[in-house]
Amino acid sequence: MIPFIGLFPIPLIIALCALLINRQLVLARITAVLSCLQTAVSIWLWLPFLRASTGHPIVHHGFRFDCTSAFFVILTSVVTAAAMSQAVSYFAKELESEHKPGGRQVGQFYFFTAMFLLSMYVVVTADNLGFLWIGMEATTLFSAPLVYYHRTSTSLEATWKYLIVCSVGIALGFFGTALFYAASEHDVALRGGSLSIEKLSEHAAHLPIGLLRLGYVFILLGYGAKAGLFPIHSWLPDAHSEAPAPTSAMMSGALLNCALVALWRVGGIMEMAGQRPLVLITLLPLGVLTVVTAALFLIKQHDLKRMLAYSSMENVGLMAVAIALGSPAGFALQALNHSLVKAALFLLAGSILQQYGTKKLDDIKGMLAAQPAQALLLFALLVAVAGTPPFGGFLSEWQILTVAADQRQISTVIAIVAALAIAFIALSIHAAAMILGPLDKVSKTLTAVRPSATVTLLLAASLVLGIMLTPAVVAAAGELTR
Amino acid sequence: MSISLTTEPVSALLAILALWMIGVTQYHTTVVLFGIQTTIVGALAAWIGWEHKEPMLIGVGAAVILLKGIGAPLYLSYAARKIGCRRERGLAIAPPIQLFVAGAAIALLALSHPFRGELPTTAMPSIDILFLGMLFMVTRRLAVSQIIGFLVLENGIFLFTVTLTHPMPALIDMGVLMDVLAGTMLAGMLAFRINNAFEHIDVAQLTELHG
Repeated sequence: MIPFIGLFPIPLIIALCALLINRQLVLARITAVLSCLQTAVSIWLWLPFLRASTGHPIVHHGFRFDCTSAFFVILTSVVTAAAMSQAVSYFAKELESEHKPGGRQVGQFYFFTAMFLLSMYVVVTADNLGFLWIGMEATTLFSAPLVYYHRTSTSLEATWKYLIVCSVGIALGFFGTALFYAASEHDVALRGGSLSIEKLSEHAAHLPIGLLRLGYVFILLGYGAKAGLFPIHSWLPDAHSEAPAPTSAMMSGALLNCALVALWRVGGIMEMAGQRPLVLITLLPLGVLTVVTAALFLIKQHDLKRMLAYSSMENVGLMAVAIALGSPAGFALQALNHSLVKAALFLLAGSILQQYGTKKLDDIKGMLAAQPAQALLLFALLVAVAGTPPFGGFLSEWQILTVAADQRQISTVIAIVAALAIAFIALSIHAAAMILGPLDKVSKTLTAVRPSATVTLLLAASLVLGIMLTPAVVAAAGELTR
Repeated sequence: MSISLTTEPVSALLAILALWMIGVTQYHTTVVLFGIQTTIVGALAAWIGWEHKEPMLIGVGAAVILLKGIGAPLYLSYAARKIGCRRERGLAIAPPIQLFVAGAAIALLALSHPFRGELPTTAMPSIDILFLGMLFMVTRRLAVSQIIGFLVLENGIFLFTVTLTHPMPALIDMGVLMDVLAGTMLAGMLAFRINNAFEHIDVAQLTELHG
């Protein structure tokens, strides 16, 4: 239990500081340091589990200590540390603007961020489907106030949609969980029912198939809504674009993974019950449709952050396809690459918005002439997120496509390749319009800025992943989510 | 045996209360009906906890009665008074048609009776309540009504979990209850803000974000 409990002190200290400290920048700096420390702590506590890839997972008091938990705990901590480091300059800029946030507003931001982080840890480490659900609903409840941070009418609309769609969605997920429990009551060995993923997988073959299948469909609906799968994705672009930059980075880079981890784990139970075909025929079309829809929406975007949100949706679709095909390596690598690059993109977008004072793509022009370093960074990140070599995203997408082709899912391969091409072209056109183009009134007044170290580091990580990736690494990544 | 003799009629009663709510457009009446339904489901949970000798479940039942059956309705009617809304206008589907649809769906569900023998008989009314809660949510446009619909839906799931042969672990039910209450508080606060920002709480008119 120590690796799990060890994750709690630092976020709780951050939450306490947020309640006590009234000076915005002091709080931001303390949190940045503490969240980097938290990354070190989570690597120190969880690295042993990441290495021990074979054998039964260790389950204690309803929490799992296995590779998947370790991988996503560390990834969540890294994304949070990046977001919180960038948040210092974000709030410094906010304080200079007209809508100066008050001490209480910033305090609330950090309080809810810390609690949001803790609830994500609960989700990715839970072995009990009930704890998983409670954690998942808690992520919604703690991130909703973050989406509402700007207190504008559009952020209010986004928050309302997010809260209602996700709450109702995962309420159905809870009904699915209850059906799994009802199914487990029919097994004598489980003595009076169990919600443990470990025990359910072990006895899956003896459970009533009808109840499991019905339960799976409800859970897919519930956690699929939370992951932003088509057709329950409507909240995603709104919430991700209205939230402040550090929150968008955490929601895209960490929260989406949480919902997909839940689908992965429940998919594992279904596989043990001999129900792989059900997972394939439900999750695969949803994943493909999500990728295609997102790619089509990318074409006609007028808002930088909405564009990034749709790109997240596209990546979620790819991860869902990886889960449906039962490709652990594809899922883990895609999650890793997407989290790093998308967190970097949202953080960079946050500072671009502050410089230009607008989210409209049409109004952001001539970045290369005004701020060459930042323009190149943005270009590299957009290329990376579209899955272009030499960045890591290319290899993870390639991995997913090979697995699909191996399983003779030719229509899936065709649809995904077409959607990825559309997405790439759409992103390139938008990027070209922002980066090239003549200087206009706004960009003339801008001074060249030093590109943020956090964003550069995240991009470098993705580049290293792309270059270092050998078949051996792919195999190791496959072991991660076993 | 004695347990199912009580749970069956009570579950049916709860489903009838949910059906009644579908036909009502007075906001105050729906809140009262919701309060009654929740109090009954809480009492049922406490009684099942008593029969199974599970003190934790009795505690959950008591918490449901106090917080969700009495606290939440008071909070929601306070919110509605403050905002100044009394009845639903412009429902997506007229109440008589809704009642017809709901009745037909329930009848179909009862006739097809899936999972006979695998689920307790109370599963049917639980699913009815879940369905009615969703219907309530999609047809009402007031923000506060949508919260009520969500809570009704949640009542259906809670009824399902406590009337299983072995009720779900009370710890989980407690956690879920806390999440739901926190969600209600938050949604209520947002309803206030929606009212202040737009001078209405008609969520169908929240359409600034699209594309």
